[in-house]
Amino acid sequence: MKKIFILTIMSVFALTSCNDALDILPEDQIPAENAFNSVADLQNGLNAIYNQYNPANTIDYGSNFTDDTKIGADNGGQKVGFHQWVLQANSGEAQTMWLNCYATINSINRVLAAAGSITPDASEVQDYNKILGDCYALRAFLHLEVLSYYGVDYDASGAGVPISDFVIVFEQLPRNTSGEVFAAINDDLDTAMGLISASYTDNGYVTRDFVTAVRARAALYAGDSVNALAATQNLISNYPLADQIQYINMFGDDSDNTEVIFKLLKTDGNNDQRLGGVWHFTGTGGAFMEMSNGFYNAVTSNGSDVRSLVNVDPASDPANNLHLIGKYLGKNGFDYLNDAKVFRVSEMYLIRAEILAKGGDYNGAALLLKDLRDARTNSSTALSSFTNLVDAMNEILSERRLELAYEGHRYVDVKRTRNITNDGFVRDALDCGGAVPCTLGATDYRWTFAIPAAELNGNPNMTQAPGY
Amino acid sequence: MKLKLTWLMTLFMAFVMQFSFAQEKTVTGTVTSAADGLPLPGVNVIVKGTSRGVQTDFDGIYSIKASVGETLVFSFVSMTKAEVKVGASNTINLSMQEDIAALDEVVVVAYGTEKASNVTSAIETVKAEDIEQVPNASLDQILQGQAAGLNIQTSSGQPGASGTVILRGRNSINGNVEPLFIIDGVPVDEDNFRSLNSNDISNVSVLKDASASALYGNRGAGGVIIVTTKTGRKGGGVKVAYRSQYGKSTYNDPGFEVMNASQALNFQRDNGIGLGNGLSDAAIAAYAAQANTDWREIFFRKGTTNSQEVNVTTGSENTTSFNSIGYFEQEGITQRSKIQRFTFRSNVNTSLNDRLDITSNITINFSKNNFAEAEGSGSLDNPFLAPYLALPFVSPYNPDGSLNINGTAYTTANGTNTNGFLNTPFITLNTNALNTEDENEMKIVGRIGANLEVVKNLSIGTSVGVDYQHLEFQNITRPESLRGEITPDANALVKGSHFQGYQRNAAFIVNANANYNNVFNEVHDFDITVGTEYNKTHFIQSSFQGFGLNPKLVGSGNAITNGSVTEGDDEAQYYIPSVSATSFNDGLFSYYAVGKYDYDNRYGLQASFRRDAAARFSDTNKWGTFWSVSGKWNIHNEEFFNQDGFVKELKLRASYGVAGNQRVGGAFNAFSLYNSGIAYNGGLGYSLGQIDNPDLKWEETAQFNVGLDFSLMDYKLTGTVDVYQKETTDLFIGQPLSLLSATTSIQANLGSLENKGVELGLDYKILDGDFKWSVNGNIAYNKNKITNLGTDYDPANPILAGGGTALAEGHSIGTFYRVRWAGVNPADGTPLWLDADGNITNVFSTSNRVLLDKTQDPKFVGGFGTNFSYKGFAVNALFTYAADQWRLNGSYAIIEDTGLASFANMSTALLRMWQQPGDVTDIPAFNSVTRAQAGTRYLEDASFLRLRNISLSYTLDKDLLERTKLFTNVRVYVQGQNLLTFTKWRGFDPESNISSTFFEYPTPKTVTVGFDVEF
Repeated sequence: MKKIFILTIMSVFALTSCNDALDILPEDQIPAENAFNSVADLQNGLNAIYNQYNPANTIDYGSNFTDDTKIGADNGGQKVGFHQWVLQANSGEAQTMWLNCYATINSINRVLAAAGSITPDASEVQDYNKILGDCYALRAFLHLEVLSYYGVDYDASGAGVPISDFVIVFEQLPRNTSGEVFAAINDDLDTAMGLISASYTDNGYVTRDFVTAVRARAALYAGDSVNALAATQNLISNYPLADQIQYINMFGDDSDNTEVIFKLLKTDGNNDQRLGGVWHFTGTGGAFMEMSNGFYNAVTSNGSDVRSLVNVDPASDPANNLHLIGKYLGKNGFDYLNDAKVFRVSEMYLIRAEILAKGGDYNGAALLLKDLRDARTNSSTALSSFTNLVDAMNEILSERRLELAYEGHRYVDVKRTRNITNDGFVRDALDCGGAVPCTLGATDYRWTFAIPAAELNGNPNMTQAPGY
Repeated sequence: MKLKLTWLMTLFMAFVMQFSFAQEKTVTGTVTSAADGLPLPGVNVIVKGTSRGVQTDFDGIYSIKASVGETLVFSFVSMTKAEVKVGASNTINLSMQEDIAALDEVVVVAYGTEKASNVTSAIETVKAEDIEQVPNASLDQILQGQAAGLNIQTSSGQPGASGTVILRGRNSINGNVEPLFIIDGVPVDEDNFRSLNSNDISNVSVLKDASASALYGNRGAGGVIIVTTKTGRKGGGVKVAYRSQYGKSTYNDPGFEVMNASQALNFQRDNGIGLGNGLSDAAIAAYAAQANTDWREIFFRKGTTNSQEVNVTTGSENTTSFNSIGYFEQEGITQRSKIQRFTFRSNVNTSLNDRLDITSNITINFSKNNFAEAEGSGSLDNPFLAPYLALPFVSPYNPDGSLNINGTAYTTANGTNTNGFLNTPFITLNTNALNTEDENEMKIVGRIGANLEVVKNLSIGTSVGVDYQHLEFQNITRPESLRGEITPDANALVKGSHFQGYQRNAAFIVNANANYNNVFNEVHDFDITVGTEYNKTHFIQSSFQGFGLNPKLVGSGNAITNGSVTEGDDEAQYYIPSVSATSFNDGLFSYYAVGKYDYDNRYGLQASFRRDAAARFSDTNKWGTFWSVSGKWNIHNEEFFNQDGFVKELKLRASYGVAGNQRVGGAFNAFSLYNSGIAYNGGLGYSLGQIDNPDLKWEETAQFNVGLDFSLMDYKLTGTVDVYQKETTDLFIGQPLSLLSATTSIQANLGSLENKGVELGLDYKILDGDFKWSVNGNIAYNKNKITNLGTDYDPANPILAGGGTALAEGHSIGTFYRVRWAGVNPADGTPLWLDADGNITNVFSTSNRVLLDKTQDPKFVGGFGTNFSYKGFAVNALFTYAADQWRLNGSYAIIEDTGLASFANMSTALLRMWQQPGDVTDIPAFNSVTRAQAGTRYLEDASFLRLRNISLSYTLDKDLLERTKLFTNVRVYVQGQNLLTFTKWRGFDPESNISSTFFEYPTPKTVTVGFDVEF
C-alpha cells in the first residue's frame, strides 16, 4: 500500500513535466513568420489592405466639418462637437484618419517587405506584379489623403506629413516637406504603372487609370500643371460623362460605371461598410446629421439638375427643415450601403478647369464647366465668362461642391483655395447659431488638421500644426 | 450556582482568616471544566511559592497539604490559571474557565495551516458566521467591509454579479488588479462566484503581505484569498441542518429628482422645444392630467429571494464529511434579471491509518442567469436609463390598462420611428418584455489530495484539482419586438435573431510536495515544505447567430432562416449566420520551498522561495524567482512580560518579499500575430493583429510589512495594526508608438508605482454573560502613487486613461484629469471654467485640464459592526464604508444636458436655470453648454456609509429543544441588506468599480426572513 502510494507520488512528480504547461502556441491567429509564404498569401494581405482603408473618414470630414451639413433632428450628441469645429489634438477625428491611413500604409509596407522574399513562378509573375503595383499605387493615394488634411501647406517647401515607405514599429519620423511627399507619391505611381498590366480594368481594384487619377489629383494639389493636364487629358478622353439616368444609377444602386474610374466596393451589410452611416443610424434609421440649408438651396437652384435628385433624399421635408442626405441610400436591399466612388471623370473636368483657370485660360475653364453642367442638366447651359481668377475659382468651387458633394472633397477644396478666394466656410443662418458657429475664417488654424495627441506622445520628432 | 457558592466561601474565608493562625492541613477537592461541568484530569495544583504540587486524577480529584493563608495555584493547558487562598475549609472545588488567550486558533496560510501564534504574516480571517446567510449570490461581495484593506465594489446589482476586489491598493495599471482566489487548494476564476454556495464556507483567509502571498509566485502580487469550505469534526456524529430563507429586494432612493409632467411640458414650452412647444396652460394641464409617470415605478420591481438548503455533517473516528445541497433563487430589481442556482458539495476526509490521509472536496453547481438588456450603457434598451430620462407626460399603459410595450403615436411619430430616442421607455419595455439574454453555467471545483507520513516527521503529499466552467449563452431578439423590426435588417422579410454560444474553461492544478517538521529540545520547531506545481488552463468557445426567426419556433435553433435565402430583385442576403470559435491554452510550471522555524513560541522566522515558468512569456523571460522572509516575536511569552497587566498579548511581525503578476496583456504577447478573416469584396484577408514584444515579463511587487497583534484588558479588546509599503516595478504600460506603426502603443515593462498604507482592525467585547455586546471595526488607508511611467513620459501630457482619469507620475492611478468647472456667469448665463492657471475663462479647452487631488479609488475603506445577544436573541449589524472616492456622474449629466430636452426628461435642477442677467445660479442658460464640456461639473463625491447587513435572530432555548428530542438547534431571523446608505452621490448607487458611471445596474436593498434547524 505504502509503496504504491509513494510510486504514485513519484509519478505525479514525473508527469508534471513542464513542457506541456509551457510550450503553448496561439491557435486562433497566425504568427507573423507563417503569414506570408506564397503569392496567394500576399493576395490575402492585399485583400486586407483594400478593406483596411476606410473612405468614410474623408466623407465624414468633408461634410460634417463643413458647410454642407447641419445637426439632424434625431441627433443624440453624435458628431456635434466636430460639427462645431471643435478640433484638438485629442479629438477622435484628429486620430481616426491619420491612424487609418498610416496603419493601411503599414500593412502595405509589410506585404511589400514579405514579397521581397517570395519568388513567384512564371505563372504567378503577373499576379505578383499586380499585387506589388496595387500596393505602390495605394500607398501613393493614402499619402495624398493624409497630406491633404494634415499637411500645413502644399507648397513644395511647406510642412507636409511623414513618408512611410518601410515597416515602421519604433521609428519616429518627422514631417517631410510637401514637395518630398508629392515626389514620393509620384515615385510610387511610376513604380505602380510599371508593374500593373493594362489588362486589368476592373474599377473595383487598382488599374492604370487609378494611377493616372491619383496623379491628376496630386498634381492639382501640388500645383503641377504639366502632370495635371496630361493626366486629366488621358482620363477625359477615356471616360465619358454620365448622362442623367447613368448618374442616378451610378449612385442609386452602383450599377452604372460610365464615369467611375475607381470605387471601393462595399458589398456586405456590416455596419462598417455602410457609408450612409456617416450621417444616419444605419440600424434604426433616422439622421443625426442632415444636409445644410445652404447646400440644399444651392443644389436645388436648378430644377433640372440631376444632382438635386441624387443628393436630396426624397424623404426630406424641407418645409419642416428636414433635409436628408440621399447620396448613399443603399443597394442590395441594405440601407446606406453603397460603393465609395473615389475617382470619377467629372473630377478630372474640374481639375483640368482649375488648372486652366490658374494658368489664365478662363475660357477653357468655362468650357469644361459647361460640359459638365450640360451633362448634369441634360440641356445646354450658358457659358460663363471670367475676368479674373477669383471669379473663376469661386465658380469652380461651387461646381465642385455640387458635383463632388458628400464624396470627401469640400473641406480640402476650400482649404487649398482659400488663399485665392479669401473665403472660408459661411454657414446659412438656418444651419448655425447658438453653440454652432456660422463661419470658419479663411485664415483659421483649423484648415490644417491637428496631429493626433497619440502621435505626439509616441513620436517626439513630430511637430503639431500651428494653432493647436 | 456553583460559582456563587465558591464566591461566598471565599468571602467567608476572608473574614475567618483574620482570626486564624497558620496551620498545615490536607485540602481536597474536585476540579471541573466550566464549559461542560466534567471533571478535569491532570490539572496541576501547587502551593504558591513552594515546590509542593500534585495533579488531579481521572475524576478531577486532588489532595494536597497546605496551610491556611497559603495559596493554591491551579493550572491546566488551555484553561485560565486560578489561585485560591486556603481558608478554614478543607475542601476546595474549582470550576476552571477556558483560557481565551491560550486558544491558539488554526489559521489557513499558503499551502497549509498554522497556529495563529506562529504566523509571521499579515493574514486576516473571515469566519463562516460573517458569511453565512447573507442573501448575496457572489462571495466576493459578501466580503465587503469584513477585512481591513479589502476594497470590494461592484457596478452591477445583477444577482450573482462579481465585484472588483482590490487588496491594499492597485498594483497594476493594465494588468490584473485582483487577488488570486483559491478554494480548497484550487485557484479559481476571481470574477465568477455566482454559482458557488457561500454557506459552504468555513473561513476565508486574506493573505495580505508578501510573506503570505509570495509563495504564489507570479500570481501573488495582488494578494491571495484562500477560501476553505466546511468539514465534519472527528467523533462529531451525524448532524443534519435545514436552512430556509425568503425575501424581497428593491431599489435605493437615488437622491435626485426628475421633472413631473407639468414641469417638463412647461420647461419645453419655455424653451421652444418638444411637445410642450407652443402649448397653452390649459393644454399642459390636460396632458399632465392624462399622464404623470414616475418611470422608476415602472422599471424597478420588487425581486424575490428564495433559498433552501440541506446539509449533512458526519464525523466518525476515521472519516469526516460535510455535504450540502442547495437551491437559491433571486430576482433582480428589474424585469428579466434573475439567478437560479443549484449547488452541491461533498467534502470528505478519511484517515486510512495513522499515516495516510485522503481528502476530497468537490462542488458541482448549475446556475441559470437571466439578464436585463444592456445595463451600464447608453443603449435605449437599458432599463436603468429610462428612470432618468423617460418623458413623464407619456403614459406607460394602454387604454385597457395593460403595459404599453410599443409606444404612443407621439413617441413613434405615428409609427414611423419606433426605434428613435423619443420612444426610449417603450423600446426598453418592449425589449425586456419580449427579448432574452440568458446564461447557464455549470461550475465544478474539485480536488482530491493525499498525504502520507513516510517516516516520523516526514510526510509527502499530492493533489489534483480543477476549476471547471461551462457556459451556455442564448440571446434572442423576437421577430415581433421593436428591435426585431430592424433585425437582421429593416428591409428583411423575416425578422429576429438567435444567438447561442458555448464556453468552456478548465483550469487544472497538480501539486506534489514533501514536508518535514520536528521539534528539537522542546523549543526548536522546524517545518520545511518543498513542492512542485503544474497549472494549465484550457479555454474554448464557439457561438453562432442566426437571423430571421419563425415565430412558431422562437427559442429553438430551428427557427432560424437558412443563410442561403435571398430576397427581392437584388437578391439581398439578410440571413447569413455569423459563427465564431476560438481557443487558447495557458500554463505554469513551478517549484517552491518554504521553511519555518519557531523558538519557544517566542521567536519565529519564515522564508519562502518559488520559481515560476509561465507559458505566456518568451523563452528569455520564462522563469521568475519570487521569495520572502518574515519573522515574529510573541512578546507576551517573554519572561519579562507582565501577564497580569493591561496588555495580555503582544506580537510583533515583520516581512519582506517579492511576488509577481503574470496576468498582464494577452497570453501571446511574445508573438507578432496576423488575423485571418473576411476582407475586401468577400475575399480572405490577413491583417496585422498584434506587434510582438519578446522582452515582456511579469510585473513585480516587493512589499514590506510591519504588524502588531495585541490583546488588551483581559482579552476584551483585541486588535491588529499593519503598516505596509509596496513597490511595483516592471509595470506594464503602453510604450507610446508613432501611429505610423499602425498602433498607438505597445505593452512594455516600463513603469513603477507604490502603495503605502495602514490598517487597523479592532474587536471589543464590552459585555459578557447573559447580555453580550461587542463591537468591531476595521479601517484601511491606502495611498497609491505612480512613480515612473517610462522614459517617454512627458509631465505636461498625462496619459489619458479613460473615464476622465489620467496617469501621471506622482499621482494615483485613477486620478481625475479635468477642466475645472467654475459655475455660471450671472451676466449672460454662460458657463465658466478655470484655465490651467486657475483663472476664470469662458472658453472650454481641454488644454486647461489639470490633475485633481481626487481619485477613483477610496483613500479609506472598511467596515464596522456590533453584535448584541441576550439569551436567544441576537442583533448583528455591519456597516461598510468607502471614503474620499470620486466618480464622474455621467448618468446624471444627461438629465442636465438641455440639448436632449426635446426628447428626454430633465432634472428638476433645471427649474433654477439661468433666465436673465443677474440670475445667480448653478445651472447655465438653455443650450449654452453640452455635457462634453462639463469638466468637473459632474465629478462627485461617491463616498458612502452603508448598513451592509443587519440581522435580528432568535435561537430557541436548548432545554426546550432537548425536550423535542428532534431538534438540536432552531434559529429564526430577519435580515436586511443595504437598508441604509449615506452618500452625497446623486444616483441610485454610489458603489461602483468604474470611474465614470453611465446607467449601471444599482445594488438593491434586500430584506429576508429565514430559519435554520439542526437535527
